[in-house]
Amino acid sequence: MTIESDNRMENMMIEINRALLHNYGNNIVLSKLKESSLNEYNLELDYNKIFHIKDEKTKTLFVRNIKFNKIFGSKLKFNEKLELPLDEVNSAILSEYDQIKNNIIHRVLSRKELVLSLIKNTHISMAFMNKFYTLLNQLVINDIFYVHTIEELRSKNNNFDKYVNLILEEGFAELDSNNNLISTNKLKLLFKNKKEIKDTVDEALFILIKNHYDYIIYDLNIHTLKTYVNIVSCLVYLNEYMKLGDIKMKVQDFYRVYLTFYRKVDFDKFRERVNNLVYSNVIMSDNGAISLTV
Amino acid sequence: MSSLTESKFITLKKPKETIEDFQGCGINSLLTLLQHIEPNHQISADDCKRIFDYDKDGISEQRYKFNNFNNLLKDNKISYKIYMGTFNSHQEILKFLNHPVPVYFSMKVINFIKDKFKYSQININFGDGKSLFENPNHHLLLLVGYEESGSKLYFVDPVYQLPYYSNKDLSTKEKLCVLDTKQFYECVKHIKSFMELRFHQKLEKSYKKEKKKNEKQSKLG
Repeated sequence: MTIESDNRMENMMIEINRALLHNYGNNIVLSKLKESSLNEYNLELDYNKIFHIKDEKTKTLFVRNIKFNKIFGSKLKFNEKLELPLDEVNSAILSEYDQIKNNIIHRVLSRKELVLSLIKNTHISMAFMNKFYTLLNQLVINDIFYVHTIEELRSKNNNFDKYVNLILEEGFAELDSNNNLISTNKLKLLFKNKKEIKDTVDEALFILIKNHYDYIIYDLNIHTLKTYVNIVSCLVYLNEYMKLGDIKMKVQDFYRVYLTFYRKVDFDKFRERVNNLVYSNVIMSDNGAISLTV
Repeated sequence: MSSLTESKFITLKKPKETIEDFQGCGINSLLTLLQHIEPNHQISADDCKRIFDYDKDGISEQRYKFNNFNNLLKDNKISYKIYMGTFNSHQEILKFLNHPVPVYFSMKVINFIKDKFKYSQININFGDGKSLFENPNHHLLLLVGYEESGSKLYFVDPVYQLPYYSNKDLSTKEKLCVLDTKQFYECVKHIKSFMELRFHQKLEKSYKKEKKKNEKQSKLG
């Protein structure tokens, strides 16, 4: 590289950094600049957000960052003004956040103990989950759920069929020639392994939620479950991604982590939901400082 | 440009409110500037948060936000405006030292100053530092003085010092962050930007005129 091109590169770096900082703020940064041909450069931008979490137990402020590599790339000529397509960059940032969200929700859903304490103790989702409990209990105890009971429950609740269909789809039951629901070998085997009725039903319910989460949320309309899974997923993020599992933080601090990933929700509402999780032992509260229990 | 004096310090007054979060470094810097030029101002951290989309993720037009902030200054009859300034040498920003000067650095600068962040009420943990200090993220420091004709520069960190310091701490030289010019250039070389606070005499005149007029009217009333 000649001195002239070396200087040009330095100047380009300054110009790009200034353009980013002055026009788009602190969080979008130049990560790579390479001369591709005479007077033309390839540039790569990262998105980087630094945040704080305060541990009330040790009075430690943890400084950590969320970084998305190569959020945007383009070619730029020397002295050409850098203009970013805001919509495109923001949609790339959003999709990175979505990927993290999907991963942490998946992590929550893969933890049986956590899922079961969530659904058992969160009273609203419990009301909906009762339909699964009714079906699965009967199938485990009696191996059959009679068609007249299905029809009776269907008349009281017009989406009861969706619960039945999910159990059929997961292979825990099948229909006999009289349209009774009869348990399959899959459920019987589960019972054989678990030995206890309660443990078998819990395991089956956990499998249903893990494998059909979106359907349960969006088709069975059990949105409350999502609300609570989202909150817990943020704690899992701090535990597993940031390795901050031992910290105890104020609800206000946790609220800021939550806002990084999810839609803005009123703080009082958020605190109420966190309190519900405290009452149900999913979250532990020590003088107002919270942490994940399970 | 007039030659620099051997040393110069300005006494920083802690703003009424500060944000204890990294994303608040810009807002804390602006609140410090306001405290310096207009100690009785009515602009709150929440006003600034709203203007700078503090709770939002992603990127957006920064100039538009600064325009809104300048409009807020105008609404509060403050005869200053904020601009994004650039510099080539450190001497260029020292001439602005009638008030604190927010200067942009790479995160690497924390490595040089983090020993100053020792408090009885809080420990600051930067992790292994790799992902924080080796990325090209930017951080603001408030230039508050210099010694040895500018070869020793004094700063206050708006995030890791300001919220935890008293006014006494802020006027104690030993408590400030110190960079020599080599360290300074190492951390600004690819940015060389600062927030420029500019006084507008025209605005001051018009605000004074308006104030007189209002006083006259209220006397008549």
